[in-house]
Amino acid sequence: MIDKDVSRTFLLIVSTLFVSIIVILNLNMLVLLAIAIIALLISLLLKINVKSMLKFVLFFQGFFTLSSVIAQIIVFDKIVYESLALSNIKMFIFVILSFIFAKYVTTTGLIKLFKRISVNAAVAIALAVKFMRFFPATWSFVYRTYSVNYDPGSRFSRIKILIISVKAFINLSLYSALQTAESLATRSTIIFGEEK
Amino acid sequence: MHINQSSIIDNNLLDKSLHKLSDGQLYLFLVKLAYLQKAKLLLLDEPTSHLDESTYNYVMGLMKNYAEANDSIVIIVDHRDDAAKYADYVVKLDNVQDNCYEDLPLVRNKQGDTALVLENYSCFHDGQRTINPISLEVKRGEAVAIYGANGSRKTTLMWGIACSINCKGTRRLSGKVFIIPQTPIYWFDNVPVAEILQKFNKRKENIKYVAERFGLDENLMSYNLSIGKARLLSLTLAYLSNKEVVLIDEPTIGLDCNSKKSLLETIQKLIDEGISIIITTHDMKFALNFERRYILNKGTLVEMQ
Repeated sequence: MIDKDVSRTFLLIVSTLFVSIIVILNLNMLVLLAIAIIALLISLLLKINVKSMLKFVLFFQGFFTLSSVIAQIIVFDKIVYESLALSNIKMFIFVILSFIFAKYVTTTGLIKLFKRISVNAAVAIALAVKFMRFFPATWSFVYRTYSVNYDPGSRFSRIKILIISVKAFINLSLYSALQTAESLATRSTIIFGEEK
Repeated sequence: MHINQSSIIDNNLLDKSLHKLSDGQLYLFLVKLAYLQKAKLLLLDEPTSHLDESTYNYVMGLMKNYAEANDSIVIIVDHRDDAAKYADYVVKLDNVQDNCYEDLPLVRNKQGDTALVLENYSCFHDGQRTINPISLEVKRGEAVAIYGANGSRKTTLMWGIACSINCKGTRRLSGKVFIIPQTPIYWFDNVPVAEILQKFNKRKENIKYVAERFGLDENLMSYNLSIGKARLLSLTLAYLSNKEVVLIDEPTIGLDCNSKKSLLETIQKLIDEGISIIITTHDMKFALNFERRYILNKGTLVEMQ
């Protein structure tokens, strides 16, 4: 059995790569779904248990959301001339770094640490960490709500509930992410002033 | 009022993860943190939306003490004027009072069959009992309010009734349950209102007509709805999905007087359709509109006389 932390890190890297590909190629939701299935197959091949797989799905959706948020932050930084691919490499680094620091560093600590490099980078990393902690709770909440409320009335109810939950989860995460990004950016501007 | 700074944050709160605190507990925690920061200017946004009456009075006392002791300024914005008795200055931005829904008691639909029965029903979290054994019977077309202070486990009870957490005991339902969560308010997809309504339309009704009846703009994107309208959308979904029991967790959070009035009117429409409503709230004024009321205290439910 692969060590839990190692498998999570590996899955994180794989999922982030997938996200990068999706964003670079600007693919639609169907392709996203196909890639998610491929990723799940990889998880199965690696003999990772169901719990880890579920976590993987959470991470996958999470980083999909994250990519949009970081892209937004990069746009805020007026470096739109950079290619989307380069932006995604940045995002990849941000996510990996944030994962490493997730368990050891607080949000405030991260902002303080990375603001030397760039306030926006600090905000992005802090945001990544914050959301890594936020996603499982949000997913559990959304799925629970739809399990109670949504009744598609067919043999594939569970799948339909899962699909509608994923869509709501992505929207909700995006909405919250943008709000958090705005709040963190404001906070860091107050603490550290405008970035030159 | 003198407050010992070392006891300002109680140990019960310190032992919990922040994300496990209820909305009210989190608000209280933030107020206490602000108190310890000794800021010269402290701004409180809508405390009555988040705090029950007794906690609210405690917080107001704390703020008064804080302002005097630290020579600081505390500014409170609220849709209710309860802070007036604590404040040195009151600025009114409009003339709306928080009593516009007081003469709107909900009228029970007389259909009479039982919609929900709970007998000796208790819920657990991490192996510990969070809801003590309760017995509750709700008729079709009846509205029940469960009042509880911050941290009284109102949300846990709601998810317990929805059978979404680990509970034991008897639970009988004549139909299905619909739950309207406290947060996030926007639990649905970010698409036009009409699309969401259509997805839940078990009654096969005309969406345009339903939207009009419940006061919704069918063309608006759901995330562009105000908090009040988002709650109305949730209630409309409950109606369209043909559920018999609707659970609403803290429906008044973030609502002004007129929105609370619209909410009550919408609840009445659901009652008229024979739907049973159970709400939890920290707002006693709002709960008074309900014919049957219960108090929840640390997981124990008692009927109010």
